[in-house]
Amino acid sequence: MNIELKYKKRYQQYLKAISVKLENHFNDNLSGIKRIDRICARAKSVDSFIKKAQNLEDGKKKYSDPINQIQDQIGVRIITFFNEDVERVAATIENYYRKIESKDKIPESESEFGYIGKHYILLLPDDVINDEFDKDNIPTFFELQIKTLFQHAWSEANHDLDYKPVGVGELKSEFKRKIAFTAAQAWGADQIFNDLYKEINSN
Amino acid sequence: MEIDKILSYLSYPSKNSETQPEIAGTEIPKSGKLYKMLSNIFDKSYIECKTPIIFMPEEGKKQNNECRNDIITFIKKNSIPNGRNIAQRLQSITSKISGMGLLFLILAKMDKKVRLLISRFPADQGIMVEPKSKNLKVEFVEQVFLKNANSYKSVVYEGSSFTSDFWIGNAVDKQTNHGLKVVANYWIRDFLLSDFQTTSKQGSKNLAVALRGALKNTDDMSVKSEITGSALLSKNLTNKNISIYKYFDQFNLSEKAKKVISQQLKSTRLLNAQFQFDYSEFSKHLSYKSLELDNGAMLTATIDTFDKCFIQEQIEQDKILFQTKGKIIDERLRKVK
Repeated sequence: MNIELKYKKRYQQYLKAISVKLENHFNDNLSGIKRIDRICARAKSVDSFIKKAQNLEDGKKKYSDPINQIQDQIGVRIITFFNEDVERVAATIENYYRKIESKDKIPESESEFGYIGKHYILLLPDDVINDEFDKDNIPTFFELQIKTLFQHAWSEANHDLDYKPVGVGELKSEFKRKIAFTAAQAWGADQIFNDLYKEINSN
Repeated sequence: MEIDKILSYLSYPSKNSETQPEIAGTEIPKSGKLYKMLSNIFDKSYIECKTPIIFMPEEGKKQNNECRNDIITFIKKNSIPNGRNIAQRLQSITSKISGMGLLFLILAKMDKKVRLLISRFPADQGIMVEPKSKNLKVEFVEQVFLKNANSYKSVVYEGSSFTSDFWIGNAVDKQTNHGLKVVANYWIRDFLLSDFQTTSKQGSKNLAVALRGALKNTDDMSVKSEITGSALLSKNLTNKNISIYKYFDQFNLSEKAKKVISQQLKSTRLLNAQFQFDYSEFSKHLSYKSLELDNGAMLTATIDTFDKCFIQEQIEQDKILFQTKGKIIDERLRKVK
C-alpha cells in the first residue's frame, strides 16, 4: 500500500475520531482557566501530510518513514488572550500530559520578527483511543501549540502566503520585510496588552 | 517474535562510587536450559509487563533521554560493548541494598519490528567467586540465574521507528519483597530515567471521575456505601503509586463495585495505568457525599465531613433519623432535575 493510501486509511479510521476526543479531553482539563479564546484539535489532512512527507533537508528527503516520523498527524491548538496566559496554560498542560519535547519557537536573533509559539510533543492519552482501535496504526504522540491571539492571527495569515500561485517563486525582499513588519506589530500588540492587563489588575 | 540475541552482564552495586568496577558480559547461546528459561520469560513479558512508562525528556534538548539513547544504540548494533553501556548505567545507580545483579538484554525481531526485554535478576553474592575478566562464563550465568529465576525486574520496548518508537514501554517487578514505590524509584526513575505514562493529576482525576460516575449510575446502596467508604479513606494513599486495579484491591471492593467503576472508564487501559496518587486533585473531582431520602430531603456535605455534619440514628429497620445544627449562610431554589 502506498503512503498516501496508508495515511488516508489511518486518517479516516482513527485520526479524525481521536482528534474529536482529544479536543474534549483538553476542554475538560482546562475548564475553569480564564482567557482561553479557543481550543481546537485536528487530524492532519491527507494533502498536508503528503506535502510534509516530501519535505527536503540538505537536498535529501527529510522523512525516510513519514508514517512513523511525522509527529503532528494530530494537532491541538490553544489560543489565549495574553502572553502570560500561555505560561499559565502550559503549566497546567504539564500536570496532565506527558511530554517528550517542549520548545519556545522564536526568531533566531533579537533583531528578527517572525513566528512565535510554544510547541509541545505530547503522549496521546489512553482514554482518547477506543479499545477496539488498532494501536499499531495510531501515532504515539501529537503536537500541541499554545499561542496568543496575535501570534495565531499572524501565523495563519503568514501560512496562507506560503500557498502562493505556481511560478511566483521566492518572495521578493520587500515582501519578506513587510511580513516581518506585521510580525513585529503582532509582537508589540502582545507586549502592550500583557502590560496593560498586569497594570490594570495590580490595582 | 523470534529471539535474535541474548546478552548477559554482571553488575555490581556502585551507586556514588568514584570508580566503577568493570562489567563482565557474554552472549547466551540459543539452546540449552538457560535459553529455554529466558525464552519463557520473554514470552511472558507480553502479559507480565503491564506498568506503562515513558522516558522523560532532558530539559532544553530536542526529544533526548540518555537511557533511551543507550537502548537505541544497542538496538541498532547489538554488540557486547553497546549492551555494556546499559549495564553500566544500571550499575552506577545500584546501591548495596539492591546488591549485585545479572542483567539480560533479550532482543527479538520480526520484519521491521524489534522487541527488547531488559531484565535484572538479583545475584546471590554468597555463591560465587567474582569473575575478574570482561568475559562472563555462560555456566556461571546459569548457576546464578537458577538461584533467582523467579525474582526479577523487567521492562520491554517494541517498535520500528527510532523517532517515535521506543519512547514508551511496560515494566514489571517480580521481586515481591519490594513495594511499587521502590521499583518506581530504582528501576523506573533512576535507571530508566522514566516515569509512569499517566501523570499524578490525570490518574487521580480519572479515578475520582470514575468513582463519581459510579455513585451516580448505581442504585445499589451497598455499592454506593463501598465507594464512599473507599473515597473517605483515600487520603491515606497520598503520594503512593497506585492504579485503579490496585485501588480495588487496596479497599477490597466487591465485584459489583469494581464492575460499576470500570464501566465509567473511557478505556479499559486506564485500569492498569499506574500513577502517584494526588489527594488534592482527587478531592477536586469527588468532594461531596449526597444522600436523597424517600421524604424528598437531600443531604449534602463534603465527603470527609458528612458524618460529622449529620448525626445518624437508626429509628426503624429502614428509617434513619438525621440531625444537623448550624447557621444558615446560603439559601437558594434549584430546578428539580
